[in-house]
Amino acid sequence: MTEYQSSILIVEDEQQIRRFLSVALQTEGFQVFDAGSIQQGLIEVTTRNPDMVILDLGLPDGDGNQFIEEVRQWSQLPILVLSARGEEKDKVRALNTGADDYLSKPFGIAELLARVRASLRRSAGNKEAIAAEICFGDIRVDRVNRKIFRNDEEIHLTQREYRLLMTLLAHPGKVLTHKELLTSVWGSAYKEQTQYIRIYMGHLRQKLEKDATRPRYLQTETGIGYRFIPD
Amino acid sequence: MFPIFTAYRHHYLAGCIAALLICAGITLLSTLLVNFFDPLNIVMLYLLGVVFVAFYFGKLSAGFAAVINVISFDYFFVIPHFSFAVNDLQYIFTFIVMLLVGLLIGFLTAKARTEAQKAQRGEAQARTLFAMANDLSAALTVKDVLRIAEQFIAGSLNHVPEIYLCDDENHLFLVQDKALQSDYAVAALSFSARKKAGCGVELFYEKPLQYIPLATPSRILGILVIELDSARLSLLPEQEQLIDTQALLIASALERIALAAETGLAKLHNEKEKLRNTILAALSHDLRTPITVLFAQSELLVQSLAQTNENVLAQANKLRFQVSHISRLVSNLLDMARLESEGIHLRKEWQSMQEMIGGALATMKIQLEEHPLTVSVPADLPLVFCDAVLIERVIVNLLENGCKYAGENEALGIDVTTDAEGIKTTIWNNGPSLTAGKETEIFEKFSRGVKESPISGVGLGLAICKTIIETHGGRIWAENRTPTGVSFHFTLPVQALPDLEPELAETS
Repeated sequence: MTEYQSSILIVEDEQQIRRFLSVALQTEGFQVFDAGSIQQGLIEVTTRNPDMVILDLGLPDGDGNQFIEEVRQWSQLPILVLSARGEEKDKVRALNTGADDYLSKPFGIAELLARVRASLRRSAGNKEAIAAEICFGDIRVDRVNRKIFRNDEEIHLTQREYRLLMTLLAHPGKVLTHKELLTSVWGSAYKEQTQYIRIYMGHLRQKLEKDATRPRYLQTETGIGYRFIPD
Repeated sequence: MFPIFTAYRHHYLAGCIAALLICAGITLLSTLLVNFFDPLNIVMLYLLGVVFVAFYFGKLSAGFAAVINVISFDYFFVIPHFSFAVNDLQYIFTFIVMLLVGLLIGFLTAKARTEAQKAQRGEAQARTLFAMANDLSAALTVKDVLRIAEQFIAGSLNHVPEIYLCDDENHLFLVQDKALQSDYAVAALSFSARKKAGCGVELFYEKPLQYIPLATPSRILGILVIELDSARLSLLPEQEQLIDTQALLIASALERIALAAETGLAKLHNEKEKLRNTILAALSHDLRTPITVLFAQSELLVQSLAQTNENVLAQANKLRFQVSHISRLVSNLLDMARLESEGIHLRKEWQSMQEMIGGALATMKIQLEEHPLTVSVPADLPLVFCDAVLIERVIVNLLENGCKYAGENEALGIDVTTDAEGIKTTIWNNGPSLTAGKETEIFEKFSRGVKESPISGVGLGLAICKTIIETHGGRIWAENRTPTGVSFHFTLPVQALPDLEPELAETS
């Protein structure tokens, strides 16, 4: 392979999971390093300088959140968190600490690869400015004039709805926690007032999605937050 | 112990007799001295008598003494002797002044004495209370507290009180019969009202007993029964104050012991909960790791087989499907275990029914592809205050159930309506109907619609749904559809949403 190989660090204490993650990622052409504890993981991050980290939240020598906090002090590299289903609280904490995305165990390989690629793409695209015009489905967002169209027919959004949509569009594919969205759209005084976000997401979906119950673009991550999935 | 209180009635009588005797003594002495003394000095002697009576017997006796002294002075020493008549009208003035001065001196002396006595009694009370508080603070068991309580109350009232305590179910019981023959019904009344009852509070009780609640500001722990003086039928104010304070001291000591016991129990409970959670977490980890590996490996297998188009691809696919099925079963088992462990903590937030249904549909996407699906969710549903992860579980389980039992290509649907009970969600299918009478049984743990059916499952899905919905204060039930099929309904109560700040300006 001649093109640049992205390198990924796996921090996971279960050897079996580490092994199949390595196999799956290597098959897709990634360079893989691994670590079995937080301490080792931190050393690997500094010495190997990977493009991305896959982190298990339940590690023997401490909480995965410590790892995220440490790394976030000096690096913005994407961190994908692995956690058991039903432990939404831990995931939300990790995301609010600075993780980019999460996967619930057990997960499929296809899902894993999709998340890894999306995270890498986002971190590469971070350096570019967000496009002045964003299209998804038959919706076109004109950021310069703050106007939204469906097939050239204008859709009216309130100010909050517009800001909420913009926050989501600014991070395509990334899960944004309720707290993050509430803080950036309503301000930090509202970060626990989830009722706002439910109502406004409902409005946005009514206006932008074909089927508001089964949204294609503005997806719900139950117990965690929302995610904008571009085409 | 020192008897603080004496019978005042007898005291007054004694005072009057003493006043008479003193009056007689002064009169006798004065008849001997009348030849040497001016009548004015005799008046002085009488006044001295009043002071004496007032000092020892109180103001009523002093008043009595003042009156009889004036009478006796008039009768024996004012001319004409041995008659109430008065020759010199000046003496009328003397009588009035003598009476007034007598009363005044009497009252003042008596008052000074009462104050002194009160202070003395107050000091004694304080000492008693201090000693009692001291003893009670060292008490470690309820038995100790009761012993100390009886000892001190007996000290101030001269009889041993009866004490009722309450058990864990708040039933009163008499600790030890002390022959006061207290009335259980009155004690219970006093206990439930947290008010004093019996004699001295209401008038119509036959026995001279008073029932005093042993209560702290936060809780009531029992009833103290004391006997009142049968002549007086009430307590003196200082006496009442003392008993009330003693009751509070006893109650505080009892509460302290009860709280200590409760803390111990809570600690034990916490330890148990912690252990259970540790086991669950370990189990969950140990089961999920191999399943995650197995699932991923089977996926890798399917992927690589698909590339080479091997004829074992179908088997590999089945393997993968079964692994994902086991994964869901394990999740169900672990969830049930977690829900069963007491005090499941709901993470309640304001949630949109539409979102939760959407989340469930996304989770079930692959299985639902085989079924025609109708979804009808009104756009203007109120928000529900619930745990979204758990409610989504319920919807997923019901959908999964529908997919499993309805059979291939049978229609499924979700309807949401609002009514008086709250928001009602119906998940229906057009599969076979339930046998009559099965509608409630299927929500039991390890119960399945059809015994020995070829459809896999352990029958936990609906039991989990029931637990989740009921902890949310809702209701879940099943009914057959016509002509065929089953509807599962669940309701969630709707609460008033806190006011939202309206948006002012709108962009165009």
